[in-house]
Amino acid sequence: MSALDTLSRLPSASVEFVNVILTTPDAAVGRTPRDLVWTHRQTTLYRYRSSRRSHALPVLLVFALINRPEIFDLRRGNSFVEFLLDEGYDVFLVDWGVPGEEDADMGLADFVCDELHWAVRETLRCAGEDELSLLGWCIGGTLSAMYCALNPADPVRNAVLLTTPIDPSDSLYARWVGGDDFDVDLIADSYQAIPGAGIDWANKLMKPVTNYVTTYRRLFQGILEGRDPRDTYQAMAKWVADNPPFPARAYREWITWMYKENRLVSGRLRLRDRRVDLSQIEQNLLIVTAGADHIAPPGGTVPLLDLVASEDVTHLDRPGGHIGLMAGSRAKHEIWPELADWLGERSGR
Amino acid sequence: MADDRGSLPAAEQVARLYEQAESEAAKSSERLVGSQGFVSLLGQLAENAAALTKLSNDAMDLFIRNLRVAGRRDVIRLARQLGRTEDKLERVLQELEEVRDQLRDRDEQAAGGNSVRASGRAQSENTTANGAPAGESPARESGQSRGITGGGDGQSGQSPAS
Repeated sequence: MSALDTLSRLPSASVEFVNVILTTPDAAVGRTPRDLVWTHRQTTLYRYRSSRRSHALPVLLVFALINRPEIFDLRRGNSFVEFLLDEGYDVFLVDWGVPGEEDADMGLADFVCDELHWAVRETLRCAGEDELSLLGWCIGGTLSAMYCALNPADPVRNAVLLTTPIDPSDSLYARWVGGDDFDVDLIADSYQAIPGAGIDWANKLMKPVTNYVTTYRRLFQGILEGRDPRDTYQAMAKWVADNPPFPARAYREWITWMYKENRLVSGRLRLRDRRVDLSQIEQNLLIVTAGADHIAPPGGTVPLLDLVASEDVTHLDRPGGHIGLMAGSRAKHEIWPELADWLGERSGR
Repeated sequence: MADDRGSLPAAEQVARLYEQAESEAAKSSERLVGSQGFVSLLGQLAENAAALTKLSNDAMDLFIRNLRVAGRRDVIRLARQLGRTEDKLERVLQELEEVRDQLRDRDEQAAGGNSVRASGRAQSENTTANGAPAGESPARESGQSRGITGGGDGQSGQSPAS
């Protein structure tokens, strides 16, 4: 494209750029049909039914306490849920909901020992199976690891942990919130439900130019070059901007136990008076790390490999970012088939 | 045309230069946000924002309370009570489901036993008319089981909470 062409396209591209930004909230995300199976307080368990179910074990998806689980089902043609259904899995999803100030008393123990435990129970009842595969992403992976450690004999046969913080002591987050400069008690007491926008702001601040400049520059460039990045951009931007509050108690415990005291990896984390001992994990384990992950760097996940008692442990380290690894345009052809293959070999009766 | 050909590399060159500058700025900013000075600043900013929020919330609550209308705190207190009630209800439902499952298992075992015994009825004189061993009360057991498992089947594994 010549400079003249570029100049002549600038006005229309600018208008389209603004239109894409302004209509982002209208983007359709999480559109795969699903059934509501169970609810408790803010937590909801959904079931996605496969029309070609070929694997006995259902897959239970667990996402983080920040952002919404729609990232598993971002948009038609680029949905991990859709992919799993096509692969013949019976898929369940735990949605932690949108906690309010009334949920300030919800701690990590409530999420692991009650909500997740009960979601597993309801999944098995609904699927009519005795075992399942648990797939956790980000904090959802950490909660899943805690659950597996507390229930080694319980029905999780396969555990898949995606970009999961286990030993975050060397991360940028730990530098930000792990020291005395960050008074987590003051924050938790003041807010009751930590505003999701604040957490999103902090996440974006880790790579300020990339998040606040490069993203928009690439979008504009794509429009200017005649590509149509609307669907791709809007679905992801809508998901990124959808930040539920973090319950104060869970936030206090997460920051203190994981970043200030690093309790999980040192075996000092206790939930309901039970020690969360990662060496108790016996499930078949798949750990996926992303090389360019700045939120849960690979170095903060791999210590788990040496801790668990599982005989079947696989580690995949792939290029990509914390979210891009699983939700990027290449995920469908790269990491998803690998996950499906791994699960497929371990999901028979 | 000659101008166009000549301007193409120049435009690309400008774009490349810009991307290079952006990349350098990204690296610098990432170094900046990792510095101790930024960490202290971030901590102070977070504390100030939290303190301001708390002050404004307290002031608003006071204002609303003085108007003698239910404020946010009252709504939250009510919601927490509802949450606690839901917790208890969930636990009761789970207990109920477990009891129902146990009864269904027992019923199935009994039914299995009955069919085995029924097949051997001709050889045994110590059986009742419906095949249950003498001494048991088959009518009461089967009656209870029917009543409970019937409801369970209708739920098809879903908690009434849903």
